[in-house]
Amino acid sequence: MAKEIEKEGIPVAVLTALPVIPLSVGASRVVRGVRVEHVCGDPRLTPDLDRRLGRRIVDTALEALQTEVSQPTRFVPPEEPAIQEAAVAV
Amino acid sequence: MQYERATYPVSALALGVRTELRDGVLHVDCEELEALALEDQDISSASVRLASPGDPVRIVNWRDIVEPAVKVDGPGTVYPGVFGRPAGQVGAGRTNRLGGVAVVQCADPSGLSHEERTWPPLRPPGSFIDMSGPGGQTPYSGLHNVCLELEPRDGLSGEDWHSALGRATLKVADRLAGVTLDGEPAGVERFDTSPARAAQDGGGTLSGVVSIFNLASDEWFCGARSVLGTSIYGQTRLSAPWLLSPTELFDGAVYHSGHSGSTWSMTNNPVLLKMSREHGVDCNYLGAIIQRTNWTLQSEKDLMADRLAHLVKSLGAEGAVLTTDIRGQRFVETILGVRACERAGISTVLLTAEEDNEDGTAPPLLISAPEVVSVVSTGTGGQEETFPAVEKVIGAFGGGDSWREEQPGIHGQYGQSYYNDLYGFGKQGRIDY
Repeated sequence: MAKEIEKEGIPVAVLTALPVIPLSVGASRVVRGVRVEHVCGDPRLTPDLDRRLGRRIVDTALEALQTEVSQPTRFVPPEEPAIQEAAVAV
Repeated sequence: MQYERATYPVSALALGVRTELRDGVLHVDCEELEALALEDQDISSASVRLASPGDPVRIVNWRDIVEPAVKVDGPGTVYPGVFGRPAGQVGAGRTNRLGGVAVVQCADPSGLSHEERTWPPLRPPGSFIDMSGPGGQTPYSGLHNVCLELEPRDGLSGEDWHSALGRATLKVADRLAGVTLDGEPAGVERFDTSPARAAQDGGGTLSGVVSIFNLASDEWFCGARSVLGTSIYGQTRLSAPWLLSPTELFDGAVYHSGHSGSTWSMTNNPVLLKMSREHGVDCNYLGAIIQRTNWTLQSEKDLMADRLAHLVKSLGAEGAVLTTDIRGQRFVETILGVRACERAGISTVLLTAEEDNEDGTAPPLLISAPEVVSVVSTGTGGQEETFPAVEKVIGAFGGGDSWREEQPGIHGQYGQSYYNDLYGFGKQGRIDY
């Protein structure tokens, strides 16, 4: 689907927990999410941290859209220590 | 382990006043079997109908297919650990089986809630078995099928609905297997799974091999203690790789109530049978590994692939045959498993159905890796011809008219999941050619 939309000249970023699949199929911009059940968040986090995590992932996708790529490319959201620690502690 | 697989072959089914096996004909007292199923308080209606190879019959709404078998020597109970059955180890001693017979469980899930009806473990509604014609190429079309049309009582949760079906099905299968107790088998196949035998017969020079069955778990969707989906000794949850003796699988240690397979497909698995028969002759078959898939984090998938390779290596295997049950994200784990084994120096063959190649525009595998060098195809499961009209439909629960008509052909795997040739035993597979 991403490839078909891009054929029409609209850039697409695929948000997924498993980047290997869209990368192998040839999607141009692939953003790594969290997990299959919750791609843009983590229910173990407090609502505030969860929102921040989701924001980081979506921001990464928006940056990916503005990045020129010549081949299937993986984008990884930057890690934030507070979020990592909270997820591990729960 | 020493194991004897005693076969009582059945050449025909007949309606009878008494359930018995006489001269290869299985006489079925339908009323007796229906009464057995109705003993379960959660079953409100039960109807037994018979279908044999070549009959102009279509079986729809099928949920599982089970071979009637009974342990007559050695510990345990066939189909261990499911629906309250004892979970003690099986795979030793002697098991009587009705050869060429299956109990086909049919039930209509439309009474379940929308959420439960669309659970991943439920078989898609378009799946059916034609007993004749061009669609009759599934292994189930070649069996004498005792079909159980079951209606669980209203108001059951999805978990209880499946449990009721499973209990009733196994009760009927147990009863049918009971007909073997008085007679002599037509043949007894003996399996000795001990590694010593390979060393004796082959002078210790036979290559160690394993079979690896990737079987999805639906824990991420149904929870850790669900009865839904494929289980090992009743356990459906995600877990690290299991090592089993192939004879445990002959005794039904894997129960396959789910999307793409059947319990029958594991007790009669051609990879298991072939490798067990070659043990001590052509290879040293070190065991069957069940790799649970459907982990939902990339790092979990990576970890389990590493654990698999470690186990295979620790067993001293030089080669592995790996099969997989469903596609999608599970195929990532399939490829990671092959890659991890190859990187550990284990020659690994992937036996798999192909994706629909979309008329040559799409690759046959969802993903691959450079390490995946040996792949045997079992076809696409597609059926280009239409499925002709049939005279009788089993399992329709009142919706039979449309099923009786001609059904459209199916192009590739993602049609109606008419047939997944998972293990190479269909007529698209090598074994039949």
